[in-house]
Amino acid sequence: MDILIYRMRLSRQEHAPWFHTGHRENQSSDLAYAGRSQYILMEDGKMKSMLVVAMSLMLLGMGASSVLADVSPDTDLEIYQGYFKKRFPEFNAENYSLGMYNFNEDKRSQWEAIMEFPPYETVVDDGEQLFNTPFKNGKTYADCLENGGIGIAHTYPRFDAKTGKVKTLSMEINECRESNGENALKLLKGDLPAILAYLAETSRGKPLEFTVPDDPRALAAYEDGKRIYFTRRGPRGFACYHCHWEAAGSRIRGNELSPAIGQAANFPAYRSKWGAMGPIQRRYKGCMKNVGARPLKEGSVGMNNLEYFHRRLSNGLPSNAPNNRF
Amino acid sequence: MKYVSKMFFACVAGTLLVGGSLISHDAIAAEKAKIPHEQGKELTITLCQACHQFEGTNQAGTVGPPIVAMKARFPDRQKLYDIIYDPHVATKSYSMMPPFGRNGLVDDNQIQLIIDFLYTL
Repeated sequence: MDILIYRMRLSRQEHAPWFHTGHRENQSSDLAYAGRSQYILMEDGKMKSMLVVAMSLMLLGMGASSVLADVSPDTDLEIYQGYFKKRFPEFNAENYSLGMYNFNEDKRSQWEAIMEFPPYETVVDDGEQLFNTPFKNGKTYADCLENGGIGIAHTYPRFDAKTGKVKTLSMEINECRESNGENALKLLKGDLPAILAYLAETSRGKPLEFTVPDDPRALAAYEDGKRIYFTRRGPRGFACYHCHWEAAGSRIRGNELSPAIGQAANFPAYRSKWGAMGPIQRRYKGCMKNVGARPLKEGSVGMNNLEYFHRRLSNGLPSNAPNNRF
Repeated sequence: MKYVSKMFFACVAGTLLVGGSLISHDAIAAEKAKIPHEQGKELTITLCQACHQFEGTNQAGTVGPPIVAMKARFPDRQKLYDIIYDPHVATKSYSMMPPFGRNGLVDDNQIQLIIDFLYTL
């Protein structure tokens, strides 16, 4: 709901042809079209019209049924990863994990120098200490989490069948705290990212792996994340897609744009810009601010759904978190 | 007191005379003509160099095509205007280029200044 309100607030477009049926991913062999979702053509403030347009398309017999029925995360993954494989045929798993450092020799060597003594190491130690410190009632995080929290970070976010919503590892940690009479931690800064970093460290090297369960609510959450990813936002009308898909490998001023696949495998990350460890939602917020859009709130349903979709793009790639980024 | 005010007026008159003789009408006209060009250049650099390379940019982006030979490539001024106003309509609906005019990032006058500058590239 917050997404809808957000979109209505940002509604600036008045007459855009935001829904376009001419080129869908499976209708063209052109690389530029491959992997593009129908959502790319939507804009902030136009979401409410989606149903109306879809219905009119149905009436017009323009294949709207396939648009609406096209909710298959597995097919998506094949198409999306296939797009990047064709786009960067020389890339292996390590390349995807390197992200923007594939495209700039200087930055890559600086990153390699930083990684000799990575600043995240002390944060991981702090996280481990925090994780193992018992609550006032004597229980620990390990009592709440599957496998005592060890080697599970790469399987999040998960769909929670009880609530019907996506649950991130941060939420799991905060729920654990609250059920043990402790206050929830801030999601983006401080102790929580440190704990995430420690848990991610125990998952390093394991392939990101989660499947979207065959539950309409899970599929809806995935689809919502996908919609957010491909939706233009802000006055400049950029979708996540534009920079990290279509323009991946190019530069915006002096900044190389990393491909969408592999980004999630590096988070949480210690960013030099932040001077701190941060979860991926902090990065999403930064991205949205950079393009002049009003960022979604961390931990909101929309943000979690975006993470659900975005992390799944990296499915199969080895987790390389925590990591260092500029 | 009278002496001071007389001196003041003398100074003002002197400055006006000297100034008037130093700056010719031609120079003023040239200066005035330069302003729109400079404005156009400034706007274009601010708005376009994140993605496009052109003469005068510093560490420009590589997302969009370089801006060169604009007069030859876009002899129709209206076409260029339409692209800057709303590339999602003028070029392709999924274009990455922001709809500068439609979203009020620049007004019509500013688009004209940008086009004037683009035609010098």
